[in-house]
Amino acid sequence: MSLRRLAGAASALVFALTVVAFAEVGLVALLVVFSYALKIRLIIATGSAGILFSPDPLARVEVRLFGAAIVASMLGVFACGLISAGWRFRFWRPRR
Amino acid sequence: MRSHLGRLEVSLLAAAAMKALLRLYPRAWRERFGREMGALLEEMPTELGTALDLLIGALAANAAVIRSNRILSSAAAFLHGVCVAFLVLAIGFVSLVLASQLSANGVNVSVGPFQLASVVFLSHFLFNGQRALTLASAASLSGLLPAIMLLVALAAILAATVAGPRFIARRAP
Repeated sequence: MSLRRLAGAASALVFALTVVAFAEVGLVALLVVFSYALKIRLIIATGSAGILFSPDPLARVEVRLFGAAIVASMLGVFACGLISAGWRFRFWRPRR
Repeated sequence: MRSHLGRLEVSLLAAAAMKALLRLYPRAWRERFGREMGALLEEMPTELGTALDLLIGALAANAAVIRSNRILSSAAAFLHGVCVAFLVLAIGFVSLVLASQLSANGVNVSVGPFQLASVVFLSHFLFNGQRALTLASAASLSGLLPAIMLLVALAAILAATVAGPRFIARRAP
């Protein structure tokens, strides 16, 4: 593999990881906003630690998201983007 | 202020801002049509519709530039795919809350041995230990309304996100 291709692949990977990281942070922020809007207690449990968002002390619903959900969402977002980009790359044609 | 036709007009200051909107167009486009377009904008009334038209035109012109390059086009497709996945995940979260409210029971989501999420209903107690409120079974319409509204809004945004590129592509020069 030539150096140019290697650099291109590295750039694409960095781009993809950055986009997925921003998407995940945005998703967590959106879930926090939703927990306030829906008045639910949201717990993001990652291993032994966890983050609790409780907008209302009398919240009647508690949603607990586990580490596997976060990993699954990251993989899902990455896969969706990859499929979309791969499809476009494979079937791209210059405009006539 | 309002014009004779009753259309909303932006202020004179906004006329300069409208010309500044031309900066959103790709450089090649500006070099070719920028001067003519600037002169045309000076003669045209500064309406909100014109500004919106300029914005959509800028989006379409940039999209045409991106589509003409295979790598850029693939990167844009990646972003689009991520946006769609993001919205689908958000819809899934709200659906989970809504489904659990409708069933009035706890919900567990798991794939094989991996537990992804769980929804439980909480009971609240008074200081003397008596049970004060158990709202778990209270799945009234007013309780469901915020989740339903969020779901509808997210579905509309998802539809716009999926259809958006095609709409912009149709307007491409």
